[in-house]
Amino acid sequence: MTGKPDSGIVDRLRRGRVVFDGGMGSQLIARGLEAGHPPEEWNRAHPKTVQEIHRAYADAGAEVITTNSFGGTPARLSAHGLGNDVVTLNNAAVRLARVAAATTAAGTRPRLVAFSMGPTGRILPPVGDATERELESEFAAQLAGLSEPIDLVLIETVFDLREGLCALRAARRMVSVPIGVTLTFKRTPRGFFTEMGDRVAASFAKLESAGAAFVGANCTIASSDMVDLAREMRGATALPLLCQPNAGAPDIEGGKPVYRQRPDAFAGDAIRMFETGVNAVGGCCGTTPEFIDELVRRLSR
Amino acid sequence: MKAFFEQCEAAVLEGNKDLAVELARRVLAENMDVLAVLERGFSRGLRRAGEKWEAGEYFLPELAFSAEVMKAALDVLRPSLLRAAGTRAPGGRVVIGTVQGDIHDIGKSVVSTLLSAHGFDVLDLGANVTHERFIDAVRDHHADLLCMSALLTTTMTGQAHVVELLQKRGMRGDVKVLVGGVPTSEGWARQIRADAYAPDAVAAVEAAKGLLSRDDRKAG
Repeated sequence: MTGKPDSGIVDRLRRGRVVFDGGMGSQLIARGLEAGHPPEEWNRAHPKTVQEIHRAYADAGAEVITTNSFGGTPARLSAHGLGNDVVTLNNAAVRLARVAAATTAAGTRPRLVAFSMGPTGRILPPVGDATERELESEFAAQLAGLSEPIDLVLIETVFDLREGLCALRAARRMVSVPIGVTLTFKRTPRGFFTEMGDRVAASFAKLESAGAAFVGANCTIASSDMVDLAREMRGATALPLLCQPNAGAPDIEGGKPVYRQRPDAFAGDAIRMFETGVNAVGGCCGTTPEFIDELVRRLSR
Repeated sequence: MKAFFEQCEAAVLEGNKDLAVELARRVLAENMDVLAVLERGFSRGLRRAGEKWEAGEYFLPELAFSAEVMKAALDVLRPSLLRAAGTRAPGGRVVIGTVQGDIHDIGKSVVSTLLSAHGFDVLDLGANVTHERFIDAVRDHHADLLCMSALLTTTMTGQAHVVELLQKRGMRGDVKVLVGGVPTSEGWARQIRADAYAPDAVAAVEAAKGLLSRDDRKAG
């Protein structure tokens, strides 16, 4: 068991307007992470770079710092020949976030460290052949070796509710900190659904009864669509809500993704999300410390 | 006959495998026109499943079920289909995989299943496929079409490397290249000199058909 039972995240969310950090993968790419390279490996190979990104978000005013451990399950790390480094890389991820979180400006609340867990890459039937038992043990294995303290677990980019529930069950078994789950919805002509067809209200009801402390949405959709989704989510659950949209859809230039959205457009939409009753906003792919800085600036006005 | 076609269509659309296999066996037993049944029955069901997916009425599981049922029907019909269409698979030979460093299987698997359901002879290399394995498979499988998926902005450049390798080995003229995956785009396909980009699985099937039929005209 690791972590402190009461990190204060739920209380802070209930009081409202918590700012999470922004994208990590796209920031690493901007600093030279190469095609096909697992971001988690940089926790060991380039710890200063990872820490510099965390620190930039902390300096921008992010209250929650998210670990660089999105792809830290054995299934994903093994695909890169890093199957033996699961414990090392996940612990390093927490340590780097922890150091950045500790740099607190005077007069602000202590920053919290959220441990990120993304999809295993193994797919459940009928599309793939993974089993729920297998997925649950993947997530448990990612958490099993953590010796560094975390304040909350953030299960993100869930496109199959069943996998999100596997991660949630594993996390509840392994740690005692609050656990949040954010799903990745796509906008269809009939409304918002995950790729597997999970709906907002039904998904959140299941996550709540399985013990999620907060729920929400991240990735894929841009901030303008996230404002509409926020309204639907607020109507669907009484749990605290976290929204982490992308900085729009990327264009590709010279083989690298380029996100066109500007920080002020993002911050404007984020304020609208807060106004619909969302409790926390951060950024996903393509968002930068400037986005978070702009949002924090506007909130403090 | 129209009622029979409609039954075939519904079996695929509704994901009813037992019914589809039973109908396919009847096609053989009663010596019906296999191509007509495929085109006006089973294939139409698969097309409609694709339309429902685009409309947000179907999702990946429904699409996967429909494709499974289509494949089951095709398995029954294949011997007589090959007689009707010549020895080559009617659609052409396809090699498909997700590029090196990327273990995302989901979109690629749906495209793979849909392509075989549409009569292509598909060799699915899975995920995290090295550049050399793509090249070897294209050569050994005599592929008409190479499909590459990438779900990450960090891995998509693998698609460019494989196209370059095809060029270097003098194989680029022998095979069409179709790319897809969340971070890719029409512009990306142009930039790396792929032949086409498909934004989703249904579009991938259309693109594959388009590329290979153009190919046939050129050859003929």
